[in-house]
Amino acid sequence: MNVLKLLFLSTLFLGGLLAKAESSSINFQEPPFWMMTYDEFHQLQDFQKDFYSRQLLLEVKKLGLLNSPKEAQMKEAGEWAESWLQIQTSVYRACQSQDNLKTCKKLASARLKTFELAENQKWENRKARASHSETSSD
Amino acid sequence: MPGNKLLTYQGKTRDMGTCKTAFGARGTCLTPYISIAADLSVYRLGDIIEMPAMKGKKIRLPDGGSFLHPGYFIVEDSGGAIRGKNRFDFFTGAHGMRNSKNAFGTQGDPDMQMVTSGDCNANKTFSVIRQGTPNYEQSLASIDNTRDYAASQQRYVIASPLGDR
Repeated sequence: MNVLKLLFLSTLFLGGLLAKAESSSINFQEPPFWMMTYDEFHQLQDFQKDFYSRQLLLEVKKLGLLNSPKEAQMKEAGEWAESWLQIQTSVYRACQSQDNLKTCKKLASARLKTFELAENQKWENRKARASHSETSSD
Repeated sequence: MPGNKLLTYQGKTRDMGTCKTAFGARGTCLTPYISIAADLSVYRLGDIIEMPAMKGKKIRLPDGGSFLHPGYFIVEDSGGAIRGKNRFDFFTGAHGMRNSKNAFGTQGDPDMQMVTSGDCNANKTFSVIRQGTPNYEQSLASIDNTRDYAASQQRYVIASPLGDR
């Protein structure tokens, strides 16, 4: 059991190293923002995390990633930056393909909608939001 | 609400805890004259906006006290009316843009007003400091120091739906 645990941890560690190496060539801090960073996700309120995780899982499945995260992995990723970075790197890499553009735009939209759930909605913004939703084709 | 709870526009209640103002999209407590809302398709929560003209400006807080502005703002919220990379919404607590106590409002000092329409002027020149870049931690420390100082002085008024028109 200890050997298995060690093997599992080693795999995660190596995976983390690989993701880190690849992620250094991807700029997560410049738009388009296909996915939240770990810092953005980690500070969300629980109901926002639940919403975003569901949306993320739903759309990531469509990207045809070799190792699409399962619900349990997503939950773990939310607690561990390295794990989150692995998923984020995979998503960004997939979003470099035009074939995935529609799905990636939905991912980007899910990120924004998650933040809207808790934004400090001043009167002007609520009015603008209502006007956008009336004209939105989504 | 009673019990130091906030009723949100989504109908949820939230314990205000030690927050005396309001919460933004990232769940953090907003700081007047420091927290801003931005278009999150262009900026990430936590991105810092440096506005050199603001550095050292004396800001009077809504309920007394003052602090010297560090020249940095931090993206902590979003809003439906805030679109594009050159538009921000500056959180100023309970005082709307026409309130005489609002340093950034229409009755604030001309070199601090953030509500003037028309062409941009030198007072509003800004640059973005993204997370992970060399200057980010230093800028964040400056913001945090200012927040701590301002918090030690102020008795904020909690933002109200009617107070921000």
